[in-house]
Amino acid sequence: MTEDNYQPTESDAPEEMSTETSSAGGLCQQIYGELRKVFFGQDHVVSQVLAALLSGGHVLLEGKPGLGKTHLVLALANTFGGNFGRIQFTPDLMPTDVTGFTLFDMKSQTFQMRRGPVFTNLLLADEINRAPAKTQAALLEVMQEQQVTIDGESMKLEPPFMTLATQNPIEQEGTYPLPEAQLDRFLMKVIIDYPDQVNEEQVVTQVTAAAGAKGLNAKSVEQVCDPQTIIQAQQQCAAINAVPEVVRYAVNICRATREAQGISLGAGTRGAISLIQVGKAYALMNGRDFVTPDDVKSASLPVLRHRVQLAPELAISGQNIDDALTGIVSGVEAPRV
Amino acid sequence: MRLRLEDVTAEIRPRVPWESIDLGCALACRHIGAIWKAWLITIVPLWILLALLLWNHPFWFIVCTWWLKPIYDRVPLMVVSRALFGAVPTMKEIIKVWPKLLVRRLWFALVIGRFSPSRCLSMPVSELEGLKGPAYRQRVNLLERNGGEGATSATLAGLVLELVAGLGMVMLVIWMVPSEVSERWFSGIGEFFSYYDWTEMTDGFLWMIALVRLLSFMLMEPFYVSAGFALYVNSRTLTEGWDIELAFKRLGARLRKMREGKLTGAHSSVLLAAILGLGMLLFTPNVQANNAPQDEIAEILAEDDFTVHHRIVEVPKESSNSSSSGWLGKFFSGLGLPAFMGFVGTMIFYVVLVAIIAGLVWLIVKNRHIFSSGAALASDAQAVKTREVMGMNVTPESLPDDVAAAARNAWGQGDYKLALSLLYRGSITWFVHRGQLPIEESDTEGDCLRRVEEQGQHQYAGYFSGLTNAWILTAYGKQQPDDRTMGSLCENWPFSNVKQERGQR
Repeated sequence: MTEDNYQPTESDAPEEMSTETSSAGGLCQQIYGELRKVFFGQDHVVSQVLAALLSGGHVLLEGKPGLGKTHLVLALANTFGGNFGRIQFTPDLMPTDVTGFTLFDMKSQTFQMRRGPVFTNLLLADEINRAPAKTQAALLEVMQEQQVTIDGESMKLEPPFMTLATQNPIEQEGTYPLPEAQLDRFLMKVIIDYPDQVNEEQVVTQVTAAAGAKGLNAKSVEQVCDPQTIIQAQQQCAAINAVPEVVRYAVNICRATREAQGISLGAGTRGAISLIQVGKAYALMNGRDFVTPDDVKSASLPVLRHRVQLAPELAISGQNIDDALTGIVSGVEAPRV
Repeated sequence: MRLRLEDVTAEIRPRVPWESIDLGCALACRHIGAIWKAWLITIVPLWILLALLLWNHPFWFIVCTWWLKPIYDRVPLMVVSRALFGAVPTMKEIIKVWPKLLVRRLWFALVIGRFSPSRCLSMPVSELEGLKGPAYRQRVNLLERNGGEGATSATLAGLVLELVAGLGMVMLVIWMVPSEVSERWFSGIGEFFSYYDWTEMTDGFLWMIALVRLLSFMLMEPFYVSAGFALYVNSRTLTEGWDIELAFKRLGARLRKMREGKLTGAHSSVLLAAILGLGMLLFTPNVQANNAPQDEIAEILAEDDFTVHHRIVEVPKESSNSSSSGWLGKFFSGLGLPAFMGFVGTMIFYVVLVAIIAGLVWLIVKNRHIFSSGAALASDAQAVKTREVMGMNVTPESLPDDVAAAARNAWGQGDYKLALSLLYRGSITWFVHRGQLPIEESDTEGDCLRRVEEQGQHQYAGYFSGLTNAWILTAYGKQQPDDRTMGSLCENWPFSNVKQERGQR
């Protein structure tokens, strides 16, 4: 099983594919192509983030500092002309710093609304685990409801809305780890690792080519569509067909995580829902209007790795969650059609 | 070289085991310089030789150096045993004796007696007294009555202290280096615990472990051996009355000195004695003794105090149990178990040991998923030859004789799914049974295609790719391919009939 390089392609696109699906697949290829111009050597990250955007989900990005997380989000926002907001989470960050607040204007003698950074299309919540639980909860509520309530007034967020929260796997001291229930709100957990030698050299060369190391600018990507097109693509994604056998396969995978030895917490029903959601996105990215078991299998690692917990004895033995999940998924029978 | 008890440099008296171990450590401390010098000229060259021989196998170097510990122990034992009697061996003597020490009774030292918990106590019996076979066992059993448990404790403490010494050395070095380097080392040590087996470790890392181990041996073994030797001396003191013998020897020496002192003053006193004797003869009355001294002595000896009483006590005969367990006793005593445990104790010990080992094996088997890779979490129900893939029966018996014809027939009848299913199932069956492709029941269509491509079966990969696309479209997309595509798939069917081939064989 691999999560790598599940890239938008037309290679397995059926000839009878609907026009909408075909155009959405083409759009994905365009966005993917633009992102790859400024983000090298992390193709699986690009495809997973794109799948999350098409599914209307949120992403938890985990990677060491300096691997281009902000760069990716900014470039993605530029590809569809969306707004980009960023919050650097710190221990003293308040919920109102995220959502916004009302302020009494002495001059006009009225309360004025100050909208927080969540009022955007793409929100980068940098180092989300550095803020206390209360502030995290405020953001996670926004992610879930896609609306903000300030002083009793509810405001819908402008779609498409997607949060990309980052976590630093090192320097865990003094952080507030996200509880499992809140981690479940993220559609995917994407791991950003170091690029390989060739790609890293390419990044260094291109970044240092401009004054002040401003090369490889995220703003250099071309806008290929507008936010409305993304919303349409999301609707098309939701309309992708998943036969009952494939749905059963996704559910079986999640159930297997609950029954597996060495797993103390398995994936819930939302895990299976997310598997199908991402499977649909993968199908759309590949120009298909139906989900295959391969789509679900490929989605299993990024979708489930933050929803399951290793038992202490397995964690102590040095196994990581990806190894455990790979083993579990390889033990689930492929669908019976 | 003959060692004399009266030359002993430590106080010989009955001690409890911990006092003996304390004495041993004090001995090792006093002669540590001589011990380490001897170690450097004997053991270190042996290590260098081993390192050269096993240069590409550091793990086995670690195992070998650990296994050879009884050989190393002979050197500090020689130094300490002689030093106790005031004759610290010279380097020349050690070099002269070393070849003999190195090869003497290797089978016993490295195999039979290697895992004895009281090795430090029994080692002087074989090394210093040179006893073998039943005499050795009898002697060890006797000595272990007074200090066997102390020797076992010393072995356990030695194991722990050796580990502590090793870790201590590592930590000391880590504290001495800059923090950037030490952080890297810490992460390296952390990774040590993430290895599943030693083959994953780098040679450099293993050599570093080996070095730490050797240094800890060098640091701890002299103390361990010396403690064992002190227990041995103490046991002999208790059983053979060394302290009494020594006291008598010292008394004898003092009396001898006193006698010699009288002789030197004899000349001056002879004259005085002669004058006094003459005077007594001249001036005393002639008294005849009433009783001869012999009579008086006989009278005293006849008193009750000097009567020798005899009492006959029947020694109970050995029960049939002990005679039947003679072979067991011999067997266990050969393993260096303390004799104080007795037969029943020994049996209980082994029952507990077997229970612990069985429990450990059970725990390992039960939690084998911890030691294996993630793949082991998968179901164990994987047949040698896969019978089902994606819910389809892929045994040759389940297929028609002519798969392509049957598929064409089904297609003609409008059963598109069955037609493609036959082709897909037929191809998977061929790959599993004829192409020896390791397809698992959990493999999806994409996995199967990937495996075919990876196995390098290029003549079939193109056809199978087209077939897989058509099958996926039908099965999951609910869209059937056109007649032309289906016709092409049936006409170009490249696989032979597995069932017929089996029948011919």
